[in-house]
Amino acid sequence: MSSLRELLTGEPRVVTAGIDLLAEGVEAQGAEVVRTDWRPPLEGTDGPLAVIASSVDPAAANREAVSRLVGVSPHWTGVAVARDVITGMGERTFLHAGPPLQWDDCSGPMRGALIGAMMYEGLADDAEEAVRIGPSIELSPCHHHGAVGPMAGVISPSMPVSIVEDADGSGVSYTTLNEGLGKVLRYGAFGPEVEERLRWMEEVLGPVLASALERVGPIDLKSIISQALQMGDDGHNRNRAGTSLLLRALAPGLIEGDEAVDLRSSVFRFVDANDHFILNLVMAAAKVGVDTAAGVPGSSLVTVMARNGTEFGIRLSGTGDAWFTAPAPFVDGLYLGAFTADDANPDIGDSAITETVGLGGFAMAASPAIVGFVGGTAAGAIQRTLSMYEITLMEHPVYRIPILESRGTPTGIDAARVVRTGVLPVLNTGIAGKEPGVGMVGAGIVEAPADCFTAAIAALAEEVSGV
Amino acid sequence: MDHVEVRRRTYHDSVRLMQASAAVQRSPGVEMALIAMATDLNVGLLADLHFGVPGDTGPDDMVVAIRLNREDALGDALAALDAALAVGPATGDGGMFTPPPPHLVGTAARAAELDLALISVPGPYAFVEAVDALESGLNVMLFSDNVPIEQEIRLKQMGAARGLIVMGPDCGTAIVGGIGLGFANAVKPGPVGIVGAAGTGIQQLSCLLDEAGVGISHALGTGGRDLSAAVGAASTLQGLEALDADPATEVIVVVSKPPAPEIADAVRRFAAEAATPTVMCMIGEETLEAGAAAALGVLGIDAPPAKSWPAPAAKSRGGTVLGLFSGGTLRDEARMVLRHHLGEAAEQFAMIDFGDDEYTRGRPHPMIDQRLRLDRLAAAGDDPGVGVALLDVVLGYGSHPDPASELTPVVEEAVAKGLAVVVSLCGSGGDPQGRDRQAAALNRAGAAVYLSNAAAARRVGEMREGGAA
Amino acid sequence: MTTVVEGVRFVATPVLPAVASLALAPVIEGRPRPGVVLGSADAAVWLGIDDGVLVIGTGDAVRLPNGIAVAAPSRQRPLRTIRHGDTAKVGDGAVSFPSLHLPVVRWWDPVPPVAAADSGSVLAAVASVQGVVPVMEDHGLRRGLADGDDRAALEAARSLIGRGDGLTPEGDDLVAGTVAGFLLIGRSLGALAIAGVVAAVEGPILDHASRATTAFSAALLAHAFRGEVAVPAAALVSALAGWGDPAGAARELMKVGHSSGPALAAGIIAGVGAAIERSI
Repeated sequence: MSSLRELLTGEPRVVTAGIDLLAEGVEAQGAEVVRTDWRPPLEGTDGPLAVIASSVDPAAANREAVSRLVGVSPHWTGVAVARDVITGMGERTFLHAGPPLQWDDCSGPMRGALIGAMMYEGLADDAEEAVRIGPSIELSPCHHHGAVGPMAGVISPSMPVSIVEDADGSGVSYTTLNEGLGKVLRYGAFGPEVEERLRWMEEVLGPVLASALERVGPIDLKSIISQALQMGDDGHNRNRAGTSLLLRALAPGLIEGDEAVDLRSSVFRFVDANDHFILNLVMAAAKVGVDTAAGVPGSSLVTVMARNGTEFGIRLSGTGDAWFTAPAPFVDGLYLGAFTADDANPDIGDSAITETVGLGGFAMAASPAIVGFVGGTAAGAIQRTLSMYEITLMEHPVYRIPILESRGTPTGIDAARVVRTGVLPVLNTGIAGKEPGVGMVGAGIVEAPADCFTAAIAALAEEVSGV
Repeated sequence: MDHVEVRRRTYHDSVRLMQASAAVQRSPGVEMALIAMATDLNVGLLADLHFGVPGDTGPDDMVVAIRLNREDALGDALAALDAALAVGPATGDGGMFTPPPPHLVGTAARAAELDLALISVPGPYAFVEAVDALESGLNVMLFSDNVPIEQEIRLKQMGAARGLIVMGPDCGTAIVGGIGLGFANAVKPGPVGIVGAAGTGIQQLSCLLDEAGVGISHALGTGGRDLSAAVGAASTLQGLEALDADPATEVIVVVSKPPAPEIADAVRRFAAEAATPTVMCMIGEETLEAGAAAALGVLGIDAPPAKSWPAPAAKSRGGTVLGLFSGGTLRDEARMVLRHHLGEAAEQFAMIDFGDDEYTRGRPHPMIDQRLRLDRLAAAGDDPGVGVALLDVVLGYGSHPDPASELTPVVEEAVAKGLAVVVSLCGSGGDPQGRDRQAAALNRAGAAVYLSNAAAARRVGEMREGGAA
Repeated sequence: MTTVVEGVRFVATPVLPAVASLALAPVIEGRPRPGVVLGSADAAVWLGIDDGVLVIGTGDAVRLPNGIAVAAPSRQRPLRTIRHGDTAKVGDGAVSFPSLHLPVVRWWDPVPPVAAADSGSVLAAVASVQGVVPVMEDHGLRRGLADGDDRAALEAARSLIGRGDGLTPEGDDLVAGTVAGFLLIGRSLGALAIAGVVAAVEGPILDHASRATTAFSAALLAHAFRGEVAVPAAALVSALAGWGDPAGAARELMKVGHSSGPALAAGIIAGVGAAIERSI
């Protein structure tokens, strides 16, 4: 921070943007100068950016929005049946990950998940029937109902859902219980095995977890996530530490429960067998934050990044409910076994919400082991995090990265900075097989599509100039 | 044969690209080369030159177009290109913990204590960068031009609210805390403060004062439009207030073309109330030389006339006067002096400002690239209708590293053909080009050299009076 | 930077543009004269010339009135090729070592700009740094200057100069700060007699210093008698006369060196106090 008075006292410290000749001139006079590597903003955004910059205090709007984003205190408070707690959940309502989607546009894993869910709900006896009635079911994004789901992210009325609440506010969000790996609904699998598991989750997993939670009280997710980051998790694709901490928190409730011991034991073993169990809860915790940050006039904070397997969509705090979408990209990464890029589905899932709150790809420097999963090098992982600081509004006050001297993770993506720099948000993600039910074929790193941000900034400019 | 390649999302500033084009063109076996960002203008230029450019390029992409005489010359040409594009000194230690270089001023401001952002990005983008700088608590020097006046007004409002100055847009010169910013000369610290709407005016003034042994505290540029009614002299008044309060500044000089009367009044009123004596130097009404003398007078210093290197006396072949200037300020001052000397006859003289838009489209500023001017000077040598050529050579940081080396052959030839050449050399003893060496070289080539532009113009007036045709 | 011409390697001496104190302009712009490196460290190189000592510092080092600075910070060790005992050439606009050439391209003024002020506002400014700046035993130096008592001032200076460790002993810094504060604020207050008091003791004190302390410290004392001080000290003096925040400037000066900063600060406050007394 400076002032004209301070400028005229002593030797000015200068930063340049543009012609390098001018920076050279300062250096030739024996003074240090900071150079920026400036390039023009993404095509077509210069006009909207100027409109936004000249509106009333966009910086203050962003400060307000991002402080709301990180100011929530999300706790896992219970498990209930979707139709009982999620508003707008009709008997033929199927929520899904990502922006709005029509049946005909569904990719393989999404269609498979919807088929499996329809069969689970008894709307169809087999896949053929499900496909026939598919166009007639009500499809709605999880995000429109205060919910989130990983991969296909399908939530149907009978499913048990976790409830996450803001202890410091009134926000609440919902998410499915993570099924584990293998033939699972969220990767588009359907059939007896899938249905059996879903029913067990409805009849055993949900109720046992609900009563265990009642016994131990609300579990502080922000605290667990922050500890997990200190232990090498990234909160998106590496969750072993977080799940372990979660199970520790839950365990007394399970042990002291009065359900039959084999039921409690099966629940314990189920969570223990799934490193990613906490992922859904991390996403729901993030969802509470982004919903609280939504609706700040003039703010270019990105509140949602989500994919439905066909399209990638984002939302900004200052543009209401509008989605800005582009074709979902293919992920560049490591493939399991004999799978190749030809087997891959485009990017899918609500789990990109972790990156909107400074986790996942943005926290990669906390999780060097993740490179074994998504590819790249540990040094590259640190560089990824470092390059995200430029496009975010703050360093997270609670989620900190030990190797960076406990610096907070880059949090609060600013769409204006994204289009000004051309630096796109980086996501770690699993890769689903394009054929329904194949499951995970690999994992990798993907950048959010630029077109989403150019469209969003254009809309924000219209929004602020209409005021 | 042609080699055309597109490098996606690869950005370099216009000056570096011109330098790169020149470097590739010098490479053996290259007939011509154009390295440019794929703006509509440049794509059109490439098409005019019969280069085939792919259709889906945009302004973020860099096009390399090389026409070769021999196929095997491509490797060297591309090597020359890469060398020319290599960025300045490496920063940081490298290694996995070194963050990537910032793209934005705001990012740089988060990482270090800074005072001023020097912004020279193309006009359509400048406003957003300047707002970022102000939001980050930095003063702004806006070198960029083609910035809409509404944006200038808004920036200056934002700056005033934060106690920060916005110098510009189109501010090419400033001296702050002893450091020259933009096109500026090396001068010593001292008691004279300058507030100027004309960069070259600031340069000439600071050089004349430096020559008289008096230094500059700060020279604040305001941009060419600050003194318009719409902008209301915002930066001028802000700068005056700050220099008035500055204990190191004992006299202030305001340099500008004459503004609208109500603006001039506002500035005069402010100056009258200021504790620090203020000299108004309006280009076109008084000379910069006179402005410098007035400032020196306030300090009780009587300065001798600025140095000159007279040309060996030769008979003028008679003919008109041709002015070949790299900017409008010195051109306008010269025109005023000639009018004063010669009256109406001076109206006939062609006094060209090569910094004007019509000459600078698609080429670097004449202070960096003199080719157009040199061609015109050579043509004047061949033209018996032209008796005297008057040109300015501006030294200092940002300008051509050795203008005399390019000028002297052309001057020599023109003088040999009978043209009288007078050079107004704007430079200080400390300038990187070596001012006195430049003056001596031009003088040896046959030109009369003056450190004061007004004196150079007076000399031309005398020559015309003496050998009037 | 190396070029190969027919098998013979020509290595160009590295060049770093440098900034210098205006007080050194006559030496640097004059005809070249020899110097020898008296000492070198990461942040500074001390160069002895026939009539004084210059210090070449890195970008983050404190700028002294007999100083030259390069832009690069000490962690980059820009001066590392210069060794104790190296010869150097000073003049023609540059300082040249066998391994490094430093053309001086820019200057700073070591005399702080001091606005005209009245004793009331200066007193208030002094009061605002109480608690930040220590009071040090000065053997009557301030008293001597305030009373215009040459002999008392000289006696005090003799007791202080050379007292303390390091290149610039604490006692020397106290004397330098007191003299500079007295002289500069005296000007600000328009107390014409003060210059005379300073001039009367300058010769004897500097003469004593030449025998009693390091050459480097004696050089800094000589500069102080002309109002030429380190940049953070200049900032404090300017602030006491009304330009800037005195407490902030005092805090910055206190951080300098090991004992130098506090001693300079204490001296300046004492000298300013003497000037106020003298001017009333």
